[in-house]
Amino acid sequence: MQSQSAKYAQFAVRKRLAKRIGIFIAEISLLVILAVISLRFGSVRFSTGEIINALIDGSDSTIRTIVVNIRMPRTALAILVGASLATSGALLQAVLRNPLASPGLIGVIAGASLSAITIMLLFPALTVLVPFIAFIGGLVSTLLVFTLAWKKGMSIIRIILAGVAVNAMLGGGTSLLSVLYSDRIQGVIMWLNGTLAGKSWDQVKLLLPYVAVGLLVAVLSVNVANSLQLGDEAAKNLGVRLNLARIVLCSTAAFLTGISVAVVGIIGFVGLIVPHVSRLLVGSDYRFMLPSSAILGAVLLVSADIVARTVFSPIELPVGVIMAVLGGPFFLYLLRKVRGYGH
Amino acid sequence: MISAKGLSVAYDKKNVVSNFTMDIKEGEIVSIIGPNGSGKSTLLKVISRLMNASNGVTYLEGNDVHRLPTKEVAKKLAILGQHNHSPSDCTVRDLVAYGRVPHKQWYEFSNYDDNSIVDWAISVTGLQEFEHRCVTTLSGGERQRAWVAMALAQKTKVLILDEPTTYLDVSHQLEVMELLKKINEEYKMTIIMVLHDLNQASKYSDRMYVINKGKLVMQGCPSEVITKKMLRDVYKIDAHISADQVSGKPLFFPLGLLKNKDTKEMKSKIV
Ligand SMILES: Nc1ncnc2c1ncn2[C@@H]1O[C@H](COP(=O)(O)OP(=O)(O)OP(=O)(O)O)[C@@H](O)[C@H]1O
Ligand SMILES: [Mg+2]
Repeated sequence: MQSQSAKYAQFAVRKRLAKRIGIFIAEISLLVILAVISLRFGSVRFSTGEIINALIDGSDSTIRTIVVNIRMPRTALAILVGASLATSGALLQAVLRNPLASPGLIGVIAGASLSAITIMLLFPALTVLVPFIAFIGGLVSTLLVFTLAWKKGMSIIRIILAGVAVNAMLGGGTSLLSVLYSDRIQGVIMWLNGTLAGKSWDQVKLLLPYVAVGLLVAVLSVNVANSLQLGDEAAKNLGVRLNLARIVLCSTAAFLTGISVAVVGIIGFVGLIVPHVSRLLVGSDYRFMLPSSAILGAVLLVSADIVARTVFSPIELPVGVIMAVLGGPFFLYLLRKVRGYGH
Repeated sequence: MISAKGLSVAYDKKNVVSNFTMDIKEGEIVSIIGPNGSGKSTLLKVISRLMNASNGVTYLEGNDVHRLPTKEVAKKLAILGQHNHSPSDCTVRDLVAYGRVPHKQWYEFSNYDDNSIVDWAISVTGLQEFEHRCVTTLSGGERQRAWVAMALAQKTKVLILDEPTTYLDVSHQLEVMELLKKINEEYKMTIIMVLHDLNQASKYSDRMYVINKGKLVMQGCPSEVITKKMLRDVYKIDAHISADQVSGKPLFFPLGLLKNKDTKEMKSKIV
C-alpha cells in the first residue's frame, strides 16, 4: 500500500517535471516559428528559402536589406520588449501578491507617458529625446510612488494605494495635455498605443544591455519571489529582508518596463496577462514561472506585431491594441479551461 | 538561548505588551498562555524579529536579535505564525523545500544536501504519503504538519509556534503536540509556543509564562502556574484542579465563569 502510493507519488513528480519541460519546449519552438514568420511576412512576403539564400550568399540585396535592416531588428525588439514587460509583471505580482498588479501599477507607465507626451506636444523639436525623457519620467514617478508608500518600511497596500493615486494624477495631466493640444494629438496616438514601426538596430542595441541586466536580476531573485508568495511573515522567517526585496524587485520591474516603454511606447496588456498565462501553464513556482513568462511575453508581442502590420497592410495598427483584442479572449479561454485557477 | 529584557510593544502608541521579561534555556519547551488579545502573538513576533519592540531587547544566544542579519536569524530560529497560506499549486514537498531558502545564496537552486534534509523533515512529520499533494488540499492537521515540516527543514535550534493546534480535532492536536515533543527530545530543539488549551500546555511544557493585558503575570513549571488563583485572576473562571496520574502535572476542569460585576451587567442587558 505504502510502496504503491510512493510509486504513484514518484510518478506524479516526474509527470509534473515532464509537463513543465514539455511546455518550455513548446514555448520556445513557438517563439522560433513566430520569429521566422515575422521575418517572412510584411508588405512583401518571402519564403523561408529565399530568406536563407539571401542571408547566406547575399545574392538578392533587396531581400537582404528588408530582412536584415527592417524585419530582424523589429522582431528582436518585439522579443526584448515582450520579455521585459512580462517579467516586470511577474515580479510585481510576487511583491504585491496581487493578481491585478501590472507594470502600470507602480506609476512607471503613467510617468513615462506624461513626460513623453509633454515633449511631443509642447516641444516637438526635442522629439528625438523622447526615449530618454520617457525613461527618466517613468523612474521618477516610480520613485514618487515608493516615497509616498514609505512609512518605516513599505507595506503592500501602501504601494498599491500610492500607485493608484500617482497614476490618477499623472493620467489627469496626460488627458489635460491631449485636450489642450488636440490638434497635434495625431502624431502621439501611435506612441500612446505602442508601436514597433520604423525601429532599427539602433534601438535594439540601446535596449539589449539594459534588458539583459534586468532579466538577470529577475532570474536571480526567484528564491526571494517564491518566499514572498508565502506571505510577509513567512518570508521574513525565511530570512528575506522584506523592504530590500520589495525595493529591488519593484525597481527591477520599473526599470524593465521604463526602458521598454521608452523605446516602443505604451504596451500595457503583456505585463498583466502573461504572468497569469504562465502560472496556468507551469504553476506558481517562480523558478519555472518567471522564465516561462519572459518567453511567453516575447511570443505574444511578436505575434501581435505580425498581425498589426499584416492585416490592414500597408496600414499599420498599434500593437498594443491588437494585443488587447486578441490576447483578452485567449486569456479568458485559458481561464475557463484550467480548472482550479483563482481559488 | 533566548531571553527578552523589558520588552514593550505598541500598535499606534497603544501598548499591547509592557515590560515583558523572559529567559528560555536551550532544549526547553515553554508555552505562553493568556486570554484572547493579551498580546501573545505580538510577543512571539517581537522575539522572532518579525516586529520591532518600542522598548527592550531580545537576545538570541547572547546577540540582539534585531541587530543580527535576518538570514542568520533564519538559520537559528524558525517561527510558524497563526495564519499561513501557500500558493494553490504548492505541494508539500515544495513547501518544505522553501525551508532551505535561508541556507542558500539568493541565486542558488536546491542541491542534493537540501533534498536529504527535506526528506528528513517530511518523514519526521509523517507526511511521506502526502509529499506530492497540494498543501491547499490537505486537512487542517496535515497542513499544520506540513508547515511544521517546513520550519524543521530550516534546521534551526529554536522553533516558535503560534497556536499550532487551534482548528484541529483532539487527535490531530495530540499528533502535533507529540510531534513537537519528539522533535524536542530527539533533536534538542528549543520550543516556544502559544497554546490555548491549558491542559495540553501543562502536559507538554517544562515551563509556562502567563500573560494578561500585555503584562507578565507569572511564570514557572506547570504545577506552579496552573492554580485556582491564576485561573480566577487571569481567565475569570472557577475551576477544579487535579493532578495527572502518570505525570503528576496539573489538570484543570472548568466549573464556570466567575460572577463578577461585568458578567452581571451583561446578563441584565440580555434579559
Ligand atoms: N496590527 C495591529 N494593529 C493594532 N492593534 C493590534 C494589531 N495586532 C494586534 N493588535 C492588538 O494587540 C492586542 C494583542 O494582540 P495579539 O494578537 O498579540 O493577541 P493574542 O494574545 O495573540 O490573542 P489571541 O489569543 O486572540 O490570538 C490586541 O488587543 C489586538 O487587538
Ligand atoms: Mg494570537
